[in-house]
Amino acid sequence: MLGQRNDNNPSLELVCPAGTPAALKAAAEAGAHSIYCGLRNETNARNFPGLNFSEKELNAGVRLAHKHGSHVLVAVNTFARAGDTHIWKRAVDAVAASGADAIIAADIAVLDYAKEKHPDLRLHLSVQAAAATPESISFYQDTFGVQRVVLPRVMSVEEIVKLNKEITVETEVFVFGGLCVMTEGRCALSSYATGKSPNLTGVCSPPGDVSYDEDGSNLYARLGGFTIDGFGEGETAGYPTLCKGRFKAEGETSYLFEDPVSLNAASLLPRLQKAGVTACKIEGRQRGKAYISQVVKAFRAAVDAMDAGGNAEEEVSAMLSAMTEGGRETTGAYKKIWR
Amino acid sequence: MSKIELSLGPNFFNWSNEKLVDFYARIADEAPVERVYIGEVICGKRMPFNDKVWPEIYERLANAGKTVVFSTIALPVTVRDRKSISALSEDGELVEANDIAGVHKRSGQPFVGGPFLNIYNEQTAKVLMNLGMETFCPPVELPMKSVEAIAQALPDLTIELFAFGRLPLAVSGRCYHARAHKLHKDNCQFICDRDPDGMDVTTLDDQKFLAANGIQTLSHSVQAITMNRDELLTKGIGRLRLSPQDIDMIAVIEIYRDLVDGKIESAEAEARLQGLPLPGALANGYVTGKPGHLWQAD
Amino acid sequence: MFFKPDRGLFPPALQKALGILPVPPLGFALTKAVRRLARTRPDLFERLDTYKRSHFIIDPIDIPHVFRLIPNGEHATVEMFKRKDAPEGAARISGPLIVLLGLVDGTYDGDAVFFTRDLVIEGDTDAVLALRNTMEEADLSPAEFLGFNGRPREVVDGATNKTLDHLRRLLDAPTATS
Repeated sequence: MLGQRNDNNPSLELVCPAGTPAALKAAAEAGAHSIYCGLRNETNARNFPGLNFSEKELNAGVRLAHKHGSHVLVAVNTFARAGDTHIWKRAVDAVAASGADAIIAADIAVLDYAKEKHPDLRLHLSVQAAAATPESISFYQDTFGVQRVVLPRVMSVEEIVKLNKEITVETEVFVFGGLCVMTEGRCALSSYATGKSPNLTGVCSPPGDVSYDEDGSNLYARLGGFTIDGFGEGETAGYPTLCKGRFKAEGETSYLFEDPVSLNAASLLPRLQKAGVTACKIEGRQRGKAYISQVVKAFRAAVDAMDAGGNAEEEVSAMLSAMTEGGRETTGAYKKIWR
Repeated sequence: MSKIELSLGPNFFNWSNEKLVDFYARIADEAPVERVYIGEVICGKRMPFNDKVWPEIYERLANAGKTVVFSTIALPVTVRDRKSISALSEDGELVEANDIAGVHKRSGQPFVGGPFLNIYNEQTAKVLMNLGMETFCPPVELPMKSVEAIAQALPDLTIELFAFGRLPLAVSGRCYHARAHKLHKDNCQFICDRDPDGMDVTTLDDQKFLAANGIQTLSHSVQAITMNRDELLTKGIGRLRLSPQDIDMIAVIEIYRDLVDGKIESAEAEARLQGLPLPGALANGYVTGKPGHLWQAD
Repeated sequence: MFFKPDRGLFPPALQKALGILPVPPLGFALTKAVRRLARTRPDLFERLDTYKRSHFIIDPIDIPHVFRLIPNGEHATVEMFKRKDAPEGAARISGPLIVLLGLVDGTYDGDAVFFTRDLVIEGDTDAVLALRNTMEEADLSPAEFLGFNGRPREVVDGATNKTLDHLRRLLDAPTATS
């Protein structure tokens, strides 16, 4: 059962992303304890073209994952559009029918519907709900029976320790991948520039609104017409995610909001486990299956090492060096020289 | 015939106590608004300072016949933040909840659902109405089409539209004022008090883009919803919220008063707003589901 | 070696030689392959959604020809044009042939080669993203795409992989990224 992989030794549950059935298969084969995915429409927060699952693919994916002993968590984690809530209700019904192990939701309308229509379906509170205090978490627990909360990506381990002492639901934290510096679910920067945002349409800084313009030897990355970053010859280049761009403030140019880095909390796994965290989540439903397979294998090895009571710190740091290699290969493109 | 009310939203910026007291005294004496939101909604570190003047400001506004609403902090982090929400919410006075924690602590008493809550549809609004929500100020990015759908489904809910001011776009665990000044958040020296309208954030090619205010990010542009009285009534809007900026807010309020009383049309309201020393260009793109920075003269 | 290849490009002499040759009936073979795929894997074309009617211009910059792909299921077409006769499309994907082939079989990560500018994307980025995510799901080997099965598939794939790998090294193409 979810959250209780081993009653005697509560070990960390590894929650891995899958943007396609091929990625789901890769994650299951690589040893993911749980796999999260979404339906191919605006009901999930990674609503990119060509990504995600049809209802049929979800049903098959759940069967395949269960065969490998993996759980499936389905994200219906955008905010339903007024007047069109039937699309989100239908998604909840589809998740329930698929035999998936839990639904990940943020919108009160979605939580309310799931609780009313599918009382046996396990509810996880999405990071998009931005619930980080005992009071807000209790609201979702008391009102909708939420059993797990995915914590915002900017909490410190000390804060998580304290929080876990005050709440009785499970907690899940991000340990690897993209990093939101703004509180998730409370950010309209993307829609300000492009009209599309995580809460409205399930995308942030969407590729369709990105342009790269060359000006002499400089290259500018623009989002919705706003220059988000610029690269001189021989300078590193990246995707113009709004909050990871370079801006001017107080007469200085800097990555004001966040440097273009991605999260890697692998070395913190033992501390997170001690902090009472139930599950560790890897970001990246938009990533390819090769990446998924590599990252999941590495994290599974680390979790298994901790379970075996071996020198987890050592295992983790060994894994970390392997991950850095992987990071350079996949996200490291952002750091390579732009020609 | 219904009337459209006006409210003054909570002040987002780090103004000195003296400035706050003077500002609200003028509002009490001169501003034709029915409702005023007060309290610190952005940074818990500012609370020990401005907590001292809120009771006095409350009295002054209440004595002038205004409905005074305490706004609660948008992103509670510390024990002090959480206690402030509990104390305000458990109190009998009307409060604005800007985090779901406030809703929980309200235990069914009436409250305002603030623009920082994620209320995007009629079903969510209905659940919260059942828990006591009497007014709903939609998230700024919510298109008018959605606002109308919610208003239609829930005719007893007062819809209060964020009609004027820099758009509150995001909150974060990190303080951008401190970061820009190479300070740590824990030792920020309250540097955000230097920018009473927020700190300008421009692009590499000097396009005005955003404004930082401590942990908050706002638009550089100034939202201005200037639909005329009949349009607002048709769409089910009950109140317009004007968000404080460091300009002559009485002038802003008077323009909107004339607009919602049907004395002037949109074009005149826009012209009069343009005549003020606004901190940014006018914007209203979100109304039609377009990028929020756009200004469409429609 | 007597020439220093330019990061994955076919050497100029070879490019020239290819230009003199008549346009081979490669488009016909590829069209058949895509349509065969539409019958065996209809899910892939469902995944492309509205983008299956998009016109993708695939431009291997080191050969004299470009391809136009319209991945419209059983009505899919792949046409080959001389570069000077190349039509416009919704999106254009340009890069050395060896890099483009590497994207099909998953040797390269699309993001990685995009950010190193070994791959250039123009036009409708969403369409290209849909195509890339669909390729990711398709997990095609060269032989599978061309319709081989069983033992022949293994032989063809083995040979192709070996040849491509050899070519990549010979041409100093970017190293594999996935």
